[in-house]
Amino acid sequence: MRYLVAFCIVCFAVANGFAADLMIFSGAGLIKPMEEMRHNFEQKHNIRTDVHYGGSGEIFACLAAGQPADVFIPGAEKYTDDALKNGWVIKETIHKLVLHEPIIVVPMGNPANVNGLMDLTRPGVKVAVGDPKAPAIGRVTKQIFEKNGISEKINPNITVLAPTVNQLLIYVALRQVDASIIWKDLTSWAEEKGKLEVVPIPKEKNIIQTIPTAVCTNAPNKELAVKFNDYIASEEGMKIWTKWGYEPCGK
Amino acid sequence: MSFLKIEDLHLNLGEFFLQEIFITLQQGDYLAVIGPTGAGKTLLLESIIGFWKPDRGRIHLVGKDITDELPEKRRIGIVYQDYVLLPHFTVYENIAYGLKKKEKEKKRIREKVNRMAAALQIDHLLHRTPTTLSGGEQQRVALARALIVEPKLLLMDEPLSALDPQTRREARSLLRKIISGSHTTVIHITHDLDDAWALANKVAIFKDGKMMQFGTLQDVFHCPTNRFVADFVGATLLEGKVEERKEGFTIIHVDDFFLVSLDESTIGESVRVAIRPENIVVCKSIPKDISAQNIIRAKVEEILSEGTTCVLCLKANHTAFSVFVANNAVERLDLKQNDAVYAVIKASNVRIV
Amino acid sequence: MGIRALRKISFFHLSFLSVTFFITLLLLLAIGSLFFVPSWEDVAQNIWSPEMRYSLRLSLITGFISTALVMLFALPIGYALSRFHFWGKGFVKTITDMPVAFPELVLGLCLLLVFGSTFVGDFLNSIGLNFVFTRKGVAAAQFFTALPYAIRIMKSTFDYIDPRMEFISRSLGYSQFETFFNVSLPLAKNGILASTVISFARCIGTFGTVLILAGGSYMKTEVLPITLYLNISYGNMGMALTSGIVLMVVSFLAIFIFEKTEVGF
Repeated sequence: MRYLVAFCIVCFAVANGFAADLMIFSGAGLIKPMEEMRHNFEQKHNIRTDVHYGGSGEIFACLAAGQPADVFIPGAEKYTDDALKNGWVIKETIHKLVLHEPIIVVPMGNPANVNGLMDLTRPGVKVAVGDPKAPAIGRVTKQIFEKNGISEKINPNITVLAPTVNQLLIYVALRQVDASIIWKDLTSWAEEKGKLEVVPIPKEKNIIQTIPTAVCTNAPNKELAVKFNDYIASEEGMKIWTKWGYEPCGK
Repeated sequence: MSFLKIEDLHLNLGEFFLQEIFITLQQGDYLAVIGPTGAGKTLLLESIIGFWKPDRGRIHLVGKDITDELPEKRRIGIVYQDYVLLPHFTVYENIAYGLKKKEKEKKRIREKVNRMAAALQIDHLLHRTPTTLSGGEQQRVALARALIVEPKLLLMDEPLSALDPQTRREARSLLRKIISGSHTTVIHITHDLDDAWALANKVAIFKDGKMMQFGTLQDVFHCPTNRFVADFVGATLLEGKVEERKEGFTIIHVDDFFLVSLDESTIGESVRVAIRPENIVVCKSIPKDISAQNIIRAKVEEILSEGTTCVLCLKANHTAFSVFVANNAVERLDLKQNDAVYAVIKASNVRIV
Repeated sequence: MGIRALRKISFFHLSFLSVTFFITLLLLLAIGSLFFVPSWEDVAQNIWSPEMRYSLRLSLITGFISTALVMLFALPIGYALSRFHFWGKGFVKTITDMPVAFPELVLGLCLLLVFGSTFVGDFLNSIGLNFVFTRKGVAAAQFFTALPYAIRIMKSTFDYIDPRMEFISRSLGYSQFETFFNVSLPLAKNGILASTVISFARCIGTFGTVLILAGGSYMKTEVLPITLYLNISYGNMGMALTSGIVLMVVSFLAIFIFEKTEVGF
């Protein structure tokens, strides 16, 4: 019997140890600045946080499934808008954080000589894009193609429809495709330097997204949630965003 | 021309090994290979059949060097102690398996299998699966399977060891009948001397990967050439010096007594003599009117009962003998430890080796 | 004394059994929730959706092809590892075993690298075997994920078959190939069945390797686990759960058959 009690105490302690004071749902692409800000925030307030990184659709689905979360930071405003419609986030807490700018990436040396969106439609060019329904980049890419009227022409060139944005990065870095469209901030990651080249998309042809943040309606720890929500939108937070290659949207 | 000739066979598998093996057999020979566990007996069989390639030495079968030939080309049959019947075949299929390779006509296969099964008294088991058979039945199926392809040479690895005594006796006599009828040359591994007595005409004694003695049954059992073989076959081996040659007898000085032998030797030579335990008769008083030349005073050191027979350990001065005596003879003579007795041995049973 | 000993045993039994039942119950709940959370009409509808039909069909086709190929390779490799002594055997064993411990994603990445722009990839491309982002790639990913399991099972199966059975067959005049087909294979029947079933379950369930090598493109290289993942990403829980149920049924059947054959690792 003594052992059973001890066992229960250990279980309880372990469970307690893992329980975080703040639960954050974040788009997987934001992992670098998010880890830094979370670390700073933990030190400042002497608390524990837990971040669940996933595709924007995935974390949206988690919210829909009723998983408890304090702060929701998806990769595009569409998700906070939809969440607001369902009453899952608090309207007043939605901040626009930084710009999420799609760009074309090509392997080092640009083997297919891609210099703009039109080059992607050239026969034989292998293009990897995000699944329009899965990562935020997939949906935006589709919209960019539609905006520029090349949806039909580019279709035969689409070699792979990736469910995650990280796959796109790998495929380009490993020269499996000639080009892909991903977020600009992803290319600033040190480990991919020297493997990729960036081809910008002119502003008028591009669809630039804004990364939003919001506090959840059912946040278990609303007070801390609001603090974190404000922190990542603050001057201090913006410095970190800029450091990792994001452009503040200037409210 | 010899039928099977093994010349200077060496094989080392680490744990088990063989060294300097020389064996020559004639057609129809029945060789019993005897030795303690781990003597390399099974390794010998598996080298002959071709599952191990010897490190050195050659094996000739019917005048042909088969050392490098594939096992499937050698036409050598094997029967294991645990029979190793193929569990996914019926008894019939097990026996017919080797036949099917060369004989395509179903009717002839059936005839042959039936004939073999009848000879081995397993014709009522043909439809059964091996796992449902008793040990003795499995043993006969394994024998039938090996014999039906008429192998040039039949190898048997302790084929009778796993059987109960009654079945073993029956199997032994059946084996003798079948083998002598088919004139097959056989190598039979056993640790049971009775198997060798009952079946073999040649014997090889193995120890630690080496062959200690090879020869006819009579030679090996009556004239063991070294201590190990003598102990193994139960004979007494004594050291002595030839003292005198007289009227066809050789008189040998052993310890503080003399032994008379019919074997020839030269005076002054150091010799070893072997005496088999069943050839010694024990008496309490000096027997009269007997032809035996050797009567030796001895003391009973120990009496060991082995079922129906007893082993008496005798000591004459410093020399120890073992003697086989029937149990009832021990009672009749009222033999006890430390009794003084006389060991009586015929000159023809004292063999110079 | 006797009673105390008895009590000790029963406490021992009780504590171990309670742990066993606790986990079993938890697993049962977890599995059960997959079946009871979605509505049945939803599941029925989802199963007939074109996406699910495509994914199920592709899963089955690639699963059968890769399982057949896995067995074709696992039989000789498992036999060689069990029977032969050869130079570098330990090395071969380690390498063929490695993918068992590998995360699938790493395996996928390795395969992508070798089948991508290397001479191996170029050569395979030239004979019409393009594995990157294709349905062939799905089968290749499944093949390499399941192969080590199959090799392991086949090796231990052959380990349990007495080599003297094969000796006997050869002494009766059959060549090594004939012996392999007449004796080794029939005796390995249970192991082959178990290995096939496990491989098939492994093939059908492979996610990470397929995702990286074949891309996991919607309605193109989409197999059941990809459907599950894609639909979690889409936020379409009904569809995700349905593919989960289909996968679960396939695995359950596999484990059931595996248990029936009474062959373990």
